[in-house]
Amino acid sequence: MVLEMKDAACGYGKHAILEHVSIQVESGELVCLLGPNGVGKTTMFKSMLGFLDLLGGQVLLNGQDRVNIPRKEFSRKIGYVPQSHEPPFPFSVMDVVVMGRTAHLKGFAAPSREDYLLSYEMLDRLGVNYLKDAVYTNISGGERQMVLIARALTQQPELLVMDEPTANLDYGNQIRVLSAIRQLSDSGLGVLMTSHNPDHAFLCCTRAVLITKDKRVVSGPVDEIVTEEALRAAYGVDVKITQALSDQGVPVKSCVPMLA
Amino acid sequence: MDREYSAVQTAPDPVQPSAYLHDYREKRKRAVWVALGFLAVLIAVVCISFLLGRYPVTPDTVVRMLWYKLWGLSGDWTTVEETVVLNIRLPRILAAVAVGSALSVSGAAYQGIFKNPMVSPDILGASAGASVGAALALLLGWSTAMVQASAFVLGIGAVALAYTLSRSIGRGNNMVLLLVLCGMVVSTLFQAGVSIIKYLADPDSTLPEITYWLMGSISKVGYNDLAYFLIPYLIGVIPLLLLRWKLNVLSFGDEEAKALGVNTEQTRVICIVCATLLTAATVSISGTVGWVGLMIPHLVRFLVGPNYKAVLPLSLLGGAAFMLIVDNFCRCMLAYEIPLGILTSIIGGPFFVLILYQRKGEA
Repeated sequence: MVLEMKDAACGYGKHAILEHVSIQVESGELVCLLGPNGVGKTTMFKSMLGFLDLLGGQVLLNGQDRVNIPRKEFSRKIGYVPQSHEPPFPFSVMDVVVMGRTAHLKGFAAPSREDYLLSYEMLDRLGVNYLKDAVYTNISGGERQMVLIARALTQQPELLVMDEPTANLDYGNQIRVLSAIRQLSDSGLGVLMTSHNPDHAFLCCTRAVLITKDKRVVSGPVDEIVTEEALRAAYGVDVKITQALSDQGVPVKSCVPMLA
Repeated sequence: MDREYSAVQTAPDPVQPSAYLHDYREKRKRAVWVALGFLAVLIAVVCISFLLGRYPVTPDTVVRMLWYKLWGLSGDWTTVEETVVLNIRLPRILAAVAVGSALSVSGAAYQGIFKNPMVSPDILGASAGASVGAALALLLGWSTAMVQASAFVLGIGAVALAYTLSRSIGRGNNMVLLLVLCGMVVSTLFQAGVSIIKYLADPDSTLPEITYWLMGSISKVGYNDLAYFLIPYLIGVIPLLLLRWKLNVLSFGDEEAKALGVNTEQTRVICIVCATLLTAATVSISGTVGWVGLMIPHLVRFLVGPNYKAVLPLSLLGGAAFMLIVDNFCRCMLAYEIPLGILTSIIGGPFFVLILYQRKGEA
């Protein structure tokens, strides 16, 4: 499974915010999209998923143009994990997760017993099955993020697109969510996520895509893309990259910002 | 399930879905019990409604009359009894059931489409448009049927105007918010229209008529009106009941709904058309009756949670029962008829506060 953006122009109305964007994500890859605020990360995401019409270029799923793929079929391949927000009604966690089955339901059907069982299985897989009786509007931000990931998994997609999965989470929850994402990727799922923290790319990603301030899109292996110079060019701040050893002796890089 | 979960194959530990089966069954059972409870209340209220009123009719007369009439037979009851039961009470019971259920279902649907529990069925101007239509027809001295037709057409027209406006301004962005704003604008304009018509109306004859119509009543609804009402009612209710699962998904917003595989534009248009048909048809036979479309869905959510799979059918039953109870008060509480719209507000307001108390502020 390959999701690909080819020479795309993304933007609202007629105004293009990003042009000539070409990136791709494959099954099993974990790609981190980095870039400063307002550079067009969200716009690119929306164009990729079809919330916005492309102003040029193409989005291809396994070589097939997205505009020719019905909404429902696309949703069976690509799951989207939005930033969590408060829904207007106090849905139960299970009701939220089972919404992931929508793309698999026929016509006017509602989720069946099997759909609910699958939803429970996904909560279980993410280690949050204790939430099954909770109300979605009453749980913590980290738990909501897990529920939304479970909902996307219930879609049974082959690729996941995640909009800042660690936004508004405390330090511990950020790490928990990242571990969960890496486990999903290890099991064969492709993941494209945005982040504001370059450390996240080092921690769990195989590739990084960096959008610089002058709207150039560069992509490649994390070590080649996330460098001191590149971060200075992208964010306009000085950063030193250091290294630590994990308990298994694997080196893990990390950024240390230099305050002005 | 149509295929194995291919991407995440290696479950680290064996999952025990059976742990959840028990919960699932319990929840289903609860929903069924609540539905049966609502149905029982509705049937009980319908039965009582036949007996309430100034002219006494015994229960066995009513049962015999309905049964015999169903098979085209005649019986030993008096003509007065037959008129009271078949020509006065029965059409009124049917009207209350239809109006209450239509308003509750359309209110619940609008709340999901507009992602807001405080939305009522007149959000897009259907009531205001229908009011202008009826007031204008009354001013011109048209027949009752024409008053209803005019109310229905202008009710739909107002919503169509709001929708067209929002489309031409929005071009795809923020459609939901724009639609609500345009609905408010159109409502305000049409309400001003009602005021102008009232100002022009003859204060001795037409003005009281218009005022009475605006307060809402189903005392004059006959079988003919009901027959015409049935068409928009069915066209409105059936698609909403069929699409009710998707209303859950829509309430999470456009982008999430799209990502989950819902054709949001199409689904929203269908739901708006259906809910509007229901509202306009209701207002055209009953006048403006507030509160029901806002309150009943809240009551239902309080009892069974916000899942539209249960909320929509239970709103239908609950709205019918509530409206019938209120209408019984309208015709029996005082020596003269109380307009329905006034009582739904008097009973509805405090009842709504009670629900809010029970939920401890979690509206």
